[in-house]
Amino acid sequence: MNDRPWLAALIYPAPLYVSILAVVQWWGGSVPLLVGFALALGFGLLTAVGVVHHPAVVAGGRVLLSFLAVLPIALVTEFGGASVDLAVGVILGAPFVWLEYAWRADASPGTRVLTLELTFLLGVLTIATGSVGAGTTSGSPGEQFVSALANVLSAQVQGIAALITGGVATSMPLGSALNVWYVGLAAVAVAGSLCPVFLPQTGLGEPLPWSWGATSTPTDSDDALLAERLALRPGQREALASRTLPAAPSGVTAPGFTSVIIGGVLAAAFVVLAVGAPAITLSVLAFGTVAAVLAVAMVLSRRLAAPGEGDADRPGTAEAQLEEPGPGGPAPGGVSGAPTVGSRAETSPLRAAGSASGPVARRTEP
Amino acid sequence: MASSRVVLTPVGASAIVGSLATLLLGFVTLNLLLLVLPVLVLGVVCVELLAFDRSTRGFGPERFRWKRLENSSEVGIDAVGSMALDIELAGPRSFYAEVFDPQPESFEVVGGAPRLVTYWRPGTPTRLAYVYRPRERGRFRVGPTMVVAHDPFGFAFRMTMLENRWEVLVTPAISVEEAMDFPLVGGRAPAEAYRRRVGPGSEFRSLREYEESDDARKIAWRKSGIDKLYVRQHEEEAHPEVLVMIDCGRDMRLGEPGSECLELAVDGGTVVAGQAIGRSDRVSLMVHADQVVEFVPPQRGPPGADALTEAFGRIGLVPRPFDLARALETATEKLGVPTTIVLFSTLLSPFGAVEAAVSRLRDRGHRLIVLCPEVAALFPAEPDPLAAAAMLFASEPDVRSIDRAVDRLRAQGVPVVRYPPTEVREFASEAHAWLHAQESPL
Repeated sequence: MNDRPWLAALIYPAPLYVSILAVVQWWGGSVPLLVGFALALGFGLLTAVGVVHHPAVVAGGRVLLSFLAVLPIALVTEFGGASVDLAVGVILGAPFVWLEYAWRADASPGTRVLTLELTFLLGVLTIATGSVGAGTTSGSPGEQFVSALANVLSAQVQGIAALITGGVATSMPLGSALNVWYVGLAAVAVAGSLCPVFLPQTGLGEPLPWSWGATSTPTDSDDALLAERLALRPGQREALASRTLPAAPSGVTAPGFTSVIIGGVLAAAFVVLAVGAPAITLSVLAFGTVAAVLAVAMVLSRRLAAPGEGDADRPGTAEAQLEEPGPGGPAPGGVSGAPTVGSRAETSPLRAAGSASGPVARRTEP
Repeated sequence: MASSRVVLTPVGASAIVGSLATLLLGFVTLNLLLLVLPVLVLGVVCVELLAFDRSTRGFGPERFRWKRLENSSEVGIDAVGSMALDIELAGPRSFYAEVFDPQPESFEVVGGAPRLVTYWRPGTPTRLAYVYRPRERGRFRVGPTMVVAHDPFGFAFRMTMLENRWEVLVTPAISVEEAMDFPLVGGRAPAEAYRRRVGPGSEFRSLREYEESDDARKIAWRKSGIDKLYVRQHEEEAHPEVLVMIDCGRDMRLGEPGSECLELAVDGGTVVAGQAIGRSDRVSLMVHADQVVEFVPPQRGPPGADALTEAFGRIGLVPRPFDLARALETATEKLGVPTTIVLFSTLLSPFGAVEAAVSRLRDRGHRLIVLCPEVAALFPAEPDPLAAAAMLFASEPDVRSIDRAVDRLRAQGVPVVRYPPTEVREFASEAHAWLHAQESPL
């Protein structure tokens, strides 16, 4: 589940908008279509909020919906109108079945991006199908939708093939399928899905200290009480009391915010390029992607030192070295870092004499 | 060890792979919306990784100045030790860092924390401090401290280690009892029992002429002449010398983890040593397997208790059998005055010429008492009858072997005390009290 449900609420409007548009356009009084849509939408919402959470039930429901969506369309001559309508209804509600992976707390960035992309893909397909139309008024609403979808896919494949062979694509229905409202809602969905990804955290999801504005240095008042209870020496008490607690960076922006800004600028520049110079957009995108991946690969493969050059084998520099190790403390070969007071046995107070099991009646080193 | 490269986390890897996969979908559809999303995500991830690499360029031990302070080097078991570590970053840029000081599993952290995750600025000193309670005896190593630089979004990290290992000796507790708490010895207070007179002892009193019955080792050669020999006379001590002998051979590993025969032996040995020191006796310690591992000469008083405590802390298992005969021979060589030897051993190892060694021991005026755990009681009883029968079958050879060894020693007049593992301290205490009663100078 998500600990920020309000972010999840940002994600649903985009697929809901395009699905409802499609249902309104295609239902033609077909009850099975509505039922199919309601099934997919309902099941998706129930699993998302955790009402349906048993893994076997969730998996079984998804498999059943997949069959309901695919089989009637694949065997349209066998199944006929009502089942195809049901299948189309399920297809229109399909994004909701997997949309929870765009906002679940345990969803990785890759999962979120892929989920959003598939949702937007289905939305674009739906918009394109609505624009192209069935080209015929015969058959059930579902059959008409399937016919229109086939036209869209066919035209898209032909366009891609033409581009690959160096020709000119006469029609790219998916490429031109855009709805301003849908784009706006999609942008909100992206923000809602990726916002938790771009918060300060470690690779294991542990939050890193961060807060808006400067904060005062935190203290731990329990340390003083603990030091007294454990009867620590003054030096130990002082060391414990003055230990550093997690500190956040000072400043208004979150760490890494600059990267998000630069990423946004890159995306905006891409949009401008796509609108202004569409002919070179793809090439620029391809080369840019390759360059970025290569740069990251070089960073990941660069070594500061050759393998086998352990820093344990060489003495610390003058900067790192404070004092030579004192007696009895560091293990041999250790680099600098001087122990100061290597205190002797720290023991609990003297117990009553005569106790065979009473430990530790010893003095401590000053 | 320096971190040689930026390491991509699963989060970072999934972000890159996911955005590349979605970019592929975008290429297939050529839809602007489907292309912008992966461009945005891939752009942010790549820029962030490059920025992280730049901000942590040169990340390694040379970037840090560190100092350990208030670090305990010797801690009594179940007492409290402390560790503190000051680290300062000497680089130009700030980053999120995780500092971790690894400690042994047997150290229970009771205050502070050995781990810190913070935003680290250059020149800002950072102090890691914690107190711990060790649960096991022995020699342990803390560190080396690990420093991990985290990318703010968790896409990558860099790690390095500061070579600042620290050794901690966890010692058992020696209970030093006050001599006044003990009952009168032969009708006199313990303080009065110490009377200066000639007899076996270690303190020199005077010279006298050599007689045929005298031990040749006591001849004072420097004072003697060609025609006349003198021997040294020593003062008899009412406080006998005690040698605690610990078998550290491989057979002492028997028992449940944390309660092996070796730990029982150390427990019992500390009781004997503590009581002996409390009564102003001199106590020595010998740790022996097939040869001497450690020998602590006779000690007395609080400084002696310190030395013995450290030595008890260092005792560890040796993967070789215990040679009782050789141990007794070694003790005979090292001991200068009649001493009571309290041996803690399972007696599982095969015996050599132990009868001869015991005999030589007696000739020098030493005495031997053996404390041996009841092997059958080392492990908890199995509720399942089949498992219990299997356990009995498995332990039977050892039990028979020990019984034979015990019989051999008892045949030589050596007292052998078989103690239940849970009562080692009580039996050791009683054994020492019995010994002291036997050692009355009157």
